[in-house]
Amino acid sequence: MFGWHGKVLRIDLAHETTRVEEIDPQTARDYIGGRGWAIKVLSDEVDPRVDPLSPENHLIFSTGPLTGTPAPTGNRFMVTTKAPLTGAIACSNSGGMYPTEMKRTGIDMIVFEGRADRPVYVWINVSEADDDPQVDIRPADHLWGERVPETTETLLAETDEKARVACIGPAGERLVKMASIMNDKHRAAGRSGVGAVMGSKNLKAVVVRGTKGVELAEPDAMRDLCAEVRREVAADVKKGSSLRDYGTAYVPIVTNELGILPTRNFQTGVFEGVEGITGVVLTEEYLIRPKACYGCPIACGRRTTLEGTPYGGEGEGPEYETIASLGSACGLDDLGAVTKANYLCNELGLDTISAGMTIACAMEMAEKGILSDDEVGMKLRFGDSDAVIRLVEQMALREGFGDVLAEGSYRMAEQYGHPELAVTAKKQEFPGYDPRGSKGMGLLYATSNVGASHMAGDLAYMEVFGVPVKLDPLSLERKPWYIKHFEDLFTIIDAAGLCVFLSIRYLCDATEDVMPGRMARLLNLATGAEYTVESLLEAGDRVYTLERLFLTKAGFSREDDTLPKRMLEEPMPEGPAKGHVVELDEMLPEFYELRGWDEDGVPTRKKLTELGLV
Amino acid sequence: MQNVSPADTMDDRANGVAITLKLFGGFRRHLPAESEGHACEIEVPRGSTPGHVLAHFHISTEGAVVLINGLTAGLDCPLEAGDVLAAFPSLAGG
Repeated sequence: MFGWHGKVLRIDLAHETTRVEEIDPQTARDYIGGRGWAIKVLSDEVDPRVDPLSPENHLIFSTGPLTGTPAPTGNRFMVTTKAPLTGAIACSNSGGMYPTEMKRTGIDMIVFEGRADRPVYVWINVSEADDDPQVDIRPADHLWGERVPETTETLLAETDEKARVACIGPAGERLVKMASIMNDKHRAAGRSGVGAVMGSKNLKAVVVRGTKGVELAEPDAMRDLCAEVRREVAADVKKGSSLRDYGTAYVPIVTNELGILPTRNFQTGVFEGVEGITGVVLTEEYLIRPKACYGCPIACGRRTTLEGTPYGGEGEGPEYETIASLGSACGLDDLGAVTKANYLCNELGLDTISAGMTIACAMEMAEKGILSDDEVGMKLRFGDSDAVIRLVEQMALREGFGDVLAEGSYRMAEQYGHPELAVTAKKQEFPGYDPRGSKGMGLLYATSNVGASHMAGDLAYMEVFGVPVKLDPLSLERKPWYIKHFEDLFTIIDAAGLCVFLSIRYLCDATEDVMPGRMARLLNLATGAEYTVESLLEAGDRVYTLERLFLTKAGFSREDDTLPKRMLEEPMPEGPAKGHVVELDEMLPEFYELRGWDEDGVPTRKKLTELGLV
Repeated sequence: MQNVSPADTMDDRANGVAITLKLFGGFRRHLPAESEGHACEIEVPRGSTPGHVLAHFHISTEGAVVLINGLTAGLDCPLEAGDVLAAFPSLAGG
């Protein structure tokens, strides 16, 4: 096979056995890779009603056919499982160096099954001479309780200094509902509690080292296409039209201008303190240098430091989502504090978005007298930096009130009789775009298979950023079509092993229909698969629909495709989106129809037949 | 206050309208040196458009997103007194 190795590593943690299987070429093509292969396995083998933290849940790491190839940003992997936070599926994506190294072991996908009876880590190691990798399951008692940086350092010393490490921190070990899996110390497969699934399996880390290349169907043509893309990226970097300039930290000033920056638990979309948390502040006060994932020409990452400030420490980030959730949503206008909270989340293995938005929810509850200072263990009000930093730590360690926060904002708010104050969809906290001022995002959050997520089909690209063309964020026009299309596009990107930051702007046609012309070509040159734009979109639809079926069997229905009252009924109080709510019931029926689902949001038999799912 | 003129004609200052100009991301470096944060106050001749303003600051309109008072706006939308004109390069992520 080309692009894909065609190999799946199965690790039975209960019996500590491993085996390598081959995937058949038709399945490989029909599901593309990454996220697509993972849902096929999950669907075939895991009862959608299982307890996500039980041994019966699988944890799947999967790269795509473009991971580890010369494709610019062909450097990503997906973590897929049934999610503890939502009970739906989790598809958490990450870049850095780890995914490329994992692909170099000659394996496309790893399926972790069962639960080890003591803490373990897995060490996967291969050289050119070997056919299949060497897989060791080793004791990890000495690592249990350790934070991400220390765990990573210890494991590199025990295995190979050139290896790459994916691990959980104390949050995953303690089954915190928004625990992340961290790779390369600072990159996160963040959302939905994938770290807790890993912790429930007593799996502390997965270390990889490999030197195998990826076979390409048309290496010369692929090299030429990749060079063309890189030239375009370089030209944009040169003219100051690149994420390299400020990282994603350039976004708060933009979303604030549109009046959709989450502020004080989404009470408004305009933050008076925004100038304290911008990319300019990050560059002037904390930036060491930009940072790239493996082979990426953009370098949106930020290597930063708090040395010389009262906070201390160093690391990477913060990203926009972190600035919105741990910053403006909590009323913080101090980027130093946000950066510190960000470092702590990375060290402890905690999703910054859910952590910040959960604290924001607690802040609103405290200000309204629903939570007392005694219960929280401190006075908790919007704008309190020290409280955010302390609560992040408590949440990760399940200490004090952190044990309540660790369950996520929905369960916390429900426990205190006010579930409407949790700004979530399917119990997952919203990301950094208030949908009352970005209506497509509202439909996305409500319908995404992972709960509220911007990465499930980020129409903010068009509604906010004008990539490739600008849509009016306050209009409902054509949004159902766009959300289905973007959900399918982002599914393809996740399955292919690419980064969205490059793929929409440089691998899709720059017209209002955003067709993945160059993306199909790149995949074909790598794999020899002969996708057309139509068949590629159909494959994305197939994966997305299979995920939806899993949710249906897990008990989700149209009732769950909804948004909090605040979004549906409380008009935005100020700013350009003043007076707006999300008119979800004006968009949902058309969305279901376009998807080929019935009025209850269930894929019809006709649709399943078309996609070959029946 | 800066004065901005469309194309290369100088209009009578008495016909000017005062607006706020905000430049985000990679465009920010085009702001006058004394600007705070991302904004500056400028005066533009009546009938000026975002296209005129960007041209004056030597910012290419290709790949620029333009907002007037936070709302999606075209490059040829006439500016009115008190408007907030924001512009940034069209790039996404975050």
